[in-house]
Amino acid sequence: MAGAAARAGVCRMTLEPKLADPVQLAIPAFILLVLIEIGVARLRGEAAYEIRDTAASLAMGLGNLVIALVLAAATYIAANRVYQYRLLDLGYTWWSFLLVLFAEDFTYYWFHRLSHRSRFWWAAHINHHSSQHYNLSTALRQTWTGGLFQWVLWLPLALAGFPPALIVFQKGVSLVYQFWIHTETIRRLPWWFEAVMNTPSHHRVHHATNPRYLDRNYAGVLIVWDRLFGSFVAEDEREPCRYGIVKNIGTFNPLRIAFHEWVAIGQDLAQAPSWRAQLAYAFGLPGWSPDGSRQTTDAIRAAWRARCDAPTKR
Amino acid sequence: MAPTNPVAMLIPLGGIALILAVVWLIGGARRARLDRALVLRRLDEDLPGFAAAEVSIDGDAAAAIAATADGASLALIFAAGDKVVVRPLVPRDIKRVAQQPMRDGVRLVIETGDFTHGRFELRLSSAEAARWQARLPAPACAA
Repeated sequence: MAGAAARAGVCRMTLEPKLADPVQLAIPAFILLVLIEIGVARLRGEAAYEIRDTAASLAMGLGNLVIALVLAAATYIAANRVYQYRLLDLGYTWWSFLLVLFAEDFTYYWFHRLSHRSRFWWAAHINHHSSQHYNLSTALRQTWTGGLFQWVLWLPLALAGFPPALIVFQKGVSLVYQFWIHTETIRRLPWWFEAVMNTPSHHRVHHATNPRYLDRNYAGVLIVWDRLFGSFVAEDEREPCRYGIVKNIGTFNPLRIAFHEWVAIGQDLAQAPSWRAQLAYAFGLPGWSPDGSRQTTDAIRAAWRARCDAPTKR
Repeated sequence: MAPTNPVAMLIPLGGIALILAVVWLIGGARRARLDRALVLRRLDEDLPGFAAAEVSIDGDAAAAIAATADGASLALIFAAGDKVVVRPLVPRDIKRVAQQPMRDGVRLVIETGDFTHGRFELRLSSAEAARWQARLPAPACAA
């Protein structure tokens, strides 16, 4: 086992920006790809972009970038603190780069699933789903509040022995990968790619509010997690995706987009009849209410199935 | 994750300006125009089971109000950019209802506690506005 001084050395080392920031490097490509998508949609006669929606998405992306800058030091310090107690020394070998891809993506899958199944986490994630458009600018409609606590879920990777800089690098790779799948321009890719990787088709389903598609396809890079844990649904060409959230927002104000669900939680907590109700409002399924006057996604899907199964009136 | 060099922030800022300029140039500044078919379709998608019996669309085709046959359920439908948002009109959410006279009718104003869109305006004929105001929940109107 390494001594305290050696560990401190490693700790300092991991704080150094040893690895390139994939997100920063990708920003010019993001801009170029958005412009190409606008052009392709224009040629096809599709109304993919609306200016206020696009401006809101880009403002959310810029805000996220600034907030990440502010919070980066805090998250690095926390990760390095945990890294001091690591179980293994995985370092920067070729296989650790390969291993972290799977480990980070597995973590992302459960983080993303939690972000849809617990209202506290949903409040930070909902803004990413708040556009009724689905285009590359939607990919940039990122959270402003998630950076305060979402990183906690990645700490086990540091405890396992992945250097924090490697984890941050892989998170960046994942974010960059997930950019290009926010498009309707690409319909389907070869079957072998669709079988393993997250694709535009799979992710359209994730952003759709059609009951059959709700809360499905949580994958980041590899769709295999959804197939493995029973949350996969294939896109059905007979049922085009309707994008947005169950209760769509009526604003393009970035502040309201970022905080509307937090405000709603606060309003519900103030009116909750008991502390149990307060807990369920804050951490239960989004859409939960003590009197059942609202619908969770499970209830929406059950009602849809009941309608589908009901005999057609003649 | 984030650029440490302030100059690096100029790239995303310049990119945003360029993208918005292109979207504007290709006619991206547009608004949905409501008609009865669109309103009924969106009600069916967003509020399954809401069988609209009466629908009034405002003079600018930017908003609409709908009611079920028994009048027990009301909904507001409004344009948000080139998309449409549907809101069930729940009595406890309504904060204020008012009519503002206009040159060619009345503006029916409905204010709710909705954080993302709390004020709805519908340009209607005087008769339509009066009819809808009468149908809105009495306690909320009194408040």
